[in-house]
Amino acid sequence: MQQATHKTLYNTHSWIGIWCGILLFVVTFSGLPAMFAHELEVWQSPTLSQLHSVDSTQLDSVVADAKANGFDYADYFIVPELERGFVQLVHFEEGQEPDIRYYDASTQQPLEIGHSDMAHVLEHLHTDLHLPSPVGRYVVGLAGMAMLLSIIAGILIHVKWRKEFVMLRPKRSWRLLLTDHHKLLGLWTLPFAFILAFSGTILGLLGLVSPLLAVAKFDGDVDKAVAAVVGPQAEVSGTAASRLSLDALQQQALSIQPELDVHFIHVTADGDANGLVKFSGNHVEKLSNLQNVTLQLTNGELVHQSDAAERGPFQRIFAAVTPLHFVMFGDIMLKAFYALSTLALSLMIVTGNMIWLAKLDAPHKAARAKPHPLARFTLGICAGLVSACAALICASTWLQGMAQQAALEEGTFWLVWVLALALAFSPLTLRRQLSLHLNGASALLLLTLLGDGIINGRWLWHAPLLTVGVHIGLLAMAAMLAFAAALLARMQANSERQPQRHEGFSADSSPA
Amino acid sequence: MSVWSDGQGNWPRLNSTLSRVLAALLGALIATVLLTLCITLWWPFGDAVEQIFAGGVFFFVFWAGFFYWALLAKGGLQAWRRMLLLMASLTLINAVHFVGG
Repeated sequence: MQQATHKTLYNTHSWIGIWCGILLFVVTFSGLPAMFAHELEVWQSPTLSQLHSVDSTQLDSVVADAKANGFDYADYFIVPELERGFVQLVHFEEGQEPDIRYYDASTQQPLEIGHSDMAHVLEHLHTDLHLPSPVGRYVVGLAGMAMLLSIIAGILIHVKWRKEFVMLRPKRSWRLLLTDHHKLLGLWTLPFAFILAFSGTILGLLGLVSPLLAVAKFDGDVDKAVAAVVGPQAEVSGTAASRLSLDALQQQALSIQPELDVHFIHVTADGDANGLVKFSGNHVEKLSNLQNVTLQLTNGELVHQSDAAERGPFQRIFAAVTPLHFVMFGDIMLKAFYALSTLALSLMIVTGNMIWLAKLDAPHKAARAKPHPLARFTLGICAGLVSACAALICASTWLQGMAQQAALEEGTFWLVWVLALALAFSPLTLRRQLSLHLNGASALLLLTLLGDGIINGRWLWHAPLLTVGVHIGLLAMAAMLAFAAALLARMQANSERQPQRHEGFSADSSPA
Repeated sequence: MSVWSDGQGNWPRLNSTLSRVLAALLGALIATVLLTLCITLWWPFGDAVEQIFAGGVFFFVFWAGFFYWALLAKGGLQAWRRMLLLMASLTLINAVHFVGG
């Protein structure tokens, strides 16, 4: 490769990291809890976590009970979470809080699930950064694009990748240590990072190009294009009509598409002659979440069906994107592998920023008087996010049962994050702050386990399987954070004994 | 002489690094939009849904490719020349489809 080309690619890789590194960290790290959003949603409610999986339920009983109790909407979703033992009924009204009801899938009795909203706070951070729709999703998509561009440049500039796969020189300079870590983590997580960047960018940005695609094939009508993919919406006729049983309609949908694993049921214009019901979900064997069957509510007539797993290659690729991104396949070990890779990827992003900061200090060969603003932002936002997530999870157990639980949880999350950012600009050394974040987050996660035992009576040795899984995950995370804090303390002690080892790097100018 | 040209056939502003970066970001994006439209219009296989996915699924892969093609140019002028060449060719191909019905 020509030197000028190498230099351009190296500079591009660096500048993308500097401009987008912190955003990439937020999107990547928040992907970890988002990956386990379903598990966390069940765990946050002591009621839901006690339920057992069932093979089937009676949808009509659930809907009839809900309608008798004020859930009198013509347009609603049913989410049969049979593996977790409950059924969710949801109605969205623009500008209003959604009406969500929970039912026991085996008894069809309503459930009081508590007021925690921890899982959604974490999930929304990953999917749209809590920004208004669809801006947040596009920003996340652009972060995926930045990651993809950075990966391409990173692959091309690292020509000695065989050597770099195993190269770690802990006894050389600080900058070399960071560079080796960055390359090691980057190379080992490369396939995973590529899959995440690829699928994340499609999920984030396809909405942005959909009007363009609609212009090409559907005369610019985006709704028509969407209807062609996922089925039409009902056109209300105004004529009242009774519908068939939802259980019978589901059986009919499954007879049309036996491989459909129903995750969502969307009822539109219920009680109208033109009412429709759409059963959608995953393919039971193939990697596709673009399976759906739309039927007439009144007579069960087939209106539309989409079996992406059996369609052309591009539909199959698109249908595989969501399952690939959110690990909707494989077993728990695969999810654990994804989780570890997410952590490695997050660490790689931070080391990228730290290399740049160390490089910036190199010509001076002396400690900076004040840390660089990028160092402060990296620490405040990245380490702050870890602390904020730990505080949110901890708050969710200790605030259990309070009427304002959701608001207090969300308030805790943002308060901790903002405080961490403010602290990053205080005179307290960055190294000390990082130590505080690592130890603090570790302690908060351990406190979560204690809180879950005291408040909810769920101890690691005496709890439903899913709760045990969450507890083990939290313990592992707490241990990793404590280990990182101990490592940091050891490095601090070493650097005090051998200050020359950290050449070109100020102990205060970088977060580690 | 103008703010763009020095009167000796050089265009320092258009040939700058900023111009090259703009070509890579903006020029590549416009070229990608045109290519997406082109693939969606001309993809010969499958139904309309397959055709829109053919154009849409690899949208950002094309963007990344064009981005680096512009960025690896010697200067801003060459980067814009590359992007304009793409834009002109793709606009022509799209126009043929729309005019031809």
